[in-house]
Amino acid sequence: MPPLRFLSSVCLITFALTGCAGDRPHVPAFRGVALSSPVAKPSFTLTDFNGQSFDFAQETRGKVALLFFGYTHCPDVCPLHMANIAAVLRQMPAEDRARVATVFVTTDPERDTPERLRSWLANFNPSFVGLTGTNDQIVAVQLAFNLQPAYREYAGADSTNYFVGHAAQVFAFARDGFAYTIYPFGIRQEDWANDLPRLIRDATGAEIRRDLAAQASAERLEVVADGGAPVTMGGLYVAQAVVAEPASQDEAAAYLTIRNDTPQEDTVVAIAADLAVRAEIHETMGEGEMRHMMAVPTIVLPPRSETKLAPGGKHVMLLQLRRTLKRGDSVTLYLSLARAGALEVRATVVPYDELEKALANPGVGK
Amino acid sequence: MNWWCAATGAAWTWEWRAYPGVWLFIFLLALGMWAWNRAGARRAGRPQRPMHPLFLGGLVVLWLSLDWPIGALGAGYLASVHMLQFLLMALVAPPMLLQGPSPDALALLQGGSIVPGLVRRLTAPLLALILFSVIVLLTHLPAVVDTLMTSQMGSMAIDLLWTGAGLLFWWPVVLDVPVHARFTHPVKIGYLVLGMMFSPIMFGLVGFLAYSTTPLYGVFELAPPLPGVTSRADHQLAGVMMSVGGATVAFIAMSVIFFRWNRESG
Repeated sequence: MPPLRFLSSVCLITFALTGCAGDRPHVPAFRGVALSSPVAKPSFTLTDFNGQSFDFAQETRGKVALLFFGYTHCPDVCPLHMANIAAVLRQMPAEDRARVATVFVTTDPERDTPERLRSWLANFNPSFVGLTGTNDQIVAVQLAFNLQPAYREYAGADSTNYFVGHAAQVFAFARDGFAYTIYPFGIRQEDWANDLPRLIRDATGAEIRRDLAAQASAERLEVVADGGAPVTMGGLYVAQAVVAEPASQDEAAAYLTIRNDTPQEDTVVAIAADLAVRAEIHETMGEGEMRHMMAVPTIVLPPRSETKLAPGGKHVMLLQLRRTLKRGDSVTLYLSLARAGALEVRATVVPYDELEKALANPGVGK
Repeated sequence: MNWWCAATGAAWTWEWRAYPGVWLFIFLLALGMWAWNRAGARRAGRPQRPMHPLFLGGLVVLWLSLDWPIGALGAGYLASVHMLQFLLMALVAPPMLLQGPSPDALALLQGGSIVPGLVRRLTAPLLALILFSVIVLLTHLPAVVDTLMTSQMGSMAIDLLWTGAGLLFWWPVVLDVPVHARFTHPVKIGYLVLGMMFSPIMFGLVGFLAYSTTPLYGVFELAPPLPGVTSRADHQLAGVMMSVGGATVAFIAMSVIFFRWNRESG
């Protein structure tokens, strides 16, 4: 082929390919997990590591506020989030850094004294603020974020040696006072470097809303989907969420499939539902007459695996239903995961004889 | 059960852990070399010579790089220790291990059957250089590292690929069987310069590791942190180690070849 014709062919193909990409200018995707609806910055007051009262909404007004619940004895998630945020802030211009407030609320006020909080956070960045309070105050703040309150996991008989199970996501409030995205464990420095400047740049949230809408439309990102459609978050995919139409007015069973595409193990540490007072993870044990159900504390999701909650195995029991469930109803399940954080999924109520068909739907898709 | 070092996501402790897969691998290597030498000695009708001390040293280097603590730290915590493993497995241990086969054992490779033919082809300098460079590149790609290092099979695959690629690369430099007439001493020096000292693959990796604004490997960036070590500094150290380590090993090897060349010429 003559060189000129070859060059023109390459140009034509390139033009055709870029033309096919759509008429919308390319918008780099947010790496954080988009929330289904923006969360307004809640107002709460705790005590900072200098012993001063800290009104979160007031002190972070007009700034990007990164809020994280953790504890200083944490061996992994907490120091990693703080280190990664600090590393990215270090590379930003001073005027941008001044527009970011990183706030760390301890979930272990007993061991995290103000002095310890101050020195631990100063290891990452002296501008980071540590907040503490009474147990009740800290639980109340977590509940305000729809988080499962942190809990202790004892490593042995020693009552001072324990881990704290806590939410693993960073809430990022834009400068307009709304959180549009959260950052679960697994978010990397390159992700922060992509998102933080965009959060800082936008004082009104208009660009963020527009970009996230474009992103959802382009990627079919379904953070909270209706009626059993797949839900994706940070490498976790939940699908085939159904509730068997209960014979009883008091309890019902929910089933779903969770695929963990991340290289890290995750654990479902708690489940709640909007239409039940309590939700528990149960497992069917034994055979024949010995068959019985037992509550189990967690569901471990091994890396790169699919876990099915199905009849005869692990499932979710919805206890003390708030109203009678009928076919077609939608129940919102709130899954709290050790690494990925909170995940919200809607399950459709289906008759028991259609359960098998509903669960046999195509697998969890991206 | 942990039989090979892999990233686990658990916080690092200095509590010793056993990796029986590593011990078995080292034992099988020693056994394989002993059996190869024995077969060569039987065929030549001579008594079997004892193991070469450098071969035993190579086994020790390989074992140290695979077992706790270097193996565990390099598999799931520090990119710099991962790089140390690469240097030991691919650049340091192989030339020592290749001192293992006796002349009688190497004579077995001069036959016409499948295995000697395969060894002749794979250890041809140009192919060995290409295979070594491709394996070094592939096993350092972030997607490959982040995927494979989280499973014991994947981590073992990377370790075996490094060792295997190192043995292929060093074979024509260290052993004269099969004979490559045109692979003279000055060509060997050029081979080491191209494959290690100024390897474009290694230079590219060093650049990404040392100068990237964010860490290259997620598996090390998101590993439970060790006190006082930032992920960026760890990655930068890995880059420096690859650059300095590769050049140092190449320089030592080139010096040995140069003096041998000088002796043979004089």
